[in-house]
Amino acid sequence: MNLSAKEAGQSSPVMILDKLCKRFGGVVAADEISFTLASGQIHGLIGPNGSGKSTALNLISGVTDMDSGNVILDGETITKEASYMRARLGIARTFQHPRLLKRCDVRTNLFLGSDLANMKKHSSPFTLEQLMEAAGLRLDLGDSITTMSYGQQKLFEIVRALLTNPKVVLLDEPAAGLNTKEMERVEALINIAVKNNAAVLLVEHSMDLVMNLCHVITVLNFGRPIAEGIPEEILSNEAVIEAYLGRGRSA
Amino acid sequence: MLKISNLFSYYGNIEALHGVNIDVGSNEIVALIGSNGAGKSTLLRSVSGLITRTGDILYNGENIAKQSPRYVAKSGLLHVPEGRHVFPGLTVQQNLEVGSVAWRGIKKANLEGDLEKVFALFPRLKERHKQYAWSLSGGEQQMLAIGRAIMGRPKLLMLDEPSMGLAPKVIDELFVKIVEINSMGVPILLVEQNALLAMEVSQKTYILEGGRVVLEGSSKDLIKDARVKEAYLGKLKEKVV
Repeated sequence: MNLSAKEAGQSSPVMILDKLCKRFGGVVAADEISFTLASGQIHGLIGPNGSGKSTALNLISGVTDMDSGNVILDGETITKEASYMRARLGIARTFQHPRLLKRCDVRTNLFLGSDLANMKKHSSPFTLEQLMEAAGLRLDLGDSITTMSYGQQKLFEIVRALLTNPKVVLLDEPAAGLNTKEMERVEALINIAVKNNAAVLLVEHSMDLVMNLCHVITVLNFGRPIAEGIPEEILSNEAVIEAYLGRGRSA
Repeated sequence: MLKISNLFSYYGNIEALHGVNIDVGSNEIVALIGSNGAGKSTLLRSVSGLITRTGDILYNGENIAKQSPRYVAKSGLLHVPEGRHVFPGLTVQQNLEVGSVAWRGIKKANLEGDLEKVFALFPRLKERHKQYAWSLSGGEQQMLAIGRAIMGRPKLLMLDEPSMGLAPKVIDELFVKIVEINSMGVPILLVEQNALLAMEVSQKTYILEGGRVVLEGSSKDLIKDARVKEAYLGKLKEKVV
């Protein structure tokens, strides 16, 4: 399943993050975060609690303004673009807790993302049937959104994101709170995205999923990247182990 | 002392703990570690009765699984929550008094004696007893939160991430005190993000993952066990050749 580092390195970079910085008061949430996303590659972004993973996704998708740094998509600097513009340019995302319109039906929720992303101009390689099947969702477009379980809502959000035919998909803990079957479906959806040459940035606490799915992993601690490499390298990296396990008494 | 068996906990419809068993013997420090969202705080909150749970929680032989937080605290099972939650607008001494008065009633409280005990353990709190809690450093606030629990004369202490946000030197000082409290005869159930530190000071360790205990054993053995790392960082599946 894993590409070798060499193979992974051959895919073309679609997004470059250049020294993203963000402070919240005295807390440095993102401290010169830099890495590159490649088309058709799954890039893991991990780190202990409060290490800046969600902040990074917010900076990339434009949900949060950055203090300094640049986001470059397909060679264009999009740092100043608003989040909806970034969505149109091909950045899709999901949220840790699904954000759906509770009073709207399935159709409105599904196509909200792709409508806003001006999908009519270019057709999606993903068919709705294919995505819904991978997600294990059997819904009529007129159904109420509230009949779905938490896990289904999270899968639904990924479907909504992929329908925009994104160049970059940002997933914020897609597996959190899901059962084993649903986690497999998340994996299936990610694989569909990759097959269609999207770059996937995966923030996830389920390490088994990250280690076995990602081609490359970046590790954050206190807002700063402390390691980047293929899963094997990350698993044996001393700085990473210390970030997760602590270091015992300094005496 | 505390025997938790087959504990299931719920946030709304979401099952957060899936049948957990944990034992804390008298005079023991038991470490409860595991990555984010593993269910560590949920376990303490379940014991304290702060969230919906089923199963058995035997405390000195009495099943408290259906009791209220007030009842649990009153019976000496005291919870120092993550993030300290001291009362910022009260002074250090007032914060400590709350720990005693809240369930003992003001008349019955032997404030002087209990205060002396806490001040002997944390001299810094004595120096600052008139200061507002908001003006304390993080380490001092953690001492205050623990001191407040000691004012309730704990028979068992549950500490949730006492090291969080503290400098390494402050953490070392704090953990000396935690061991000292234990040596005064108070068993401690310790939830910690700093896994190595927690294993160093405890006799027994449980590792939670996804709401289940995935590994348990003597801390001395587990500290050398590669499976601990796997619980945090995951592992690679065997490659199919």
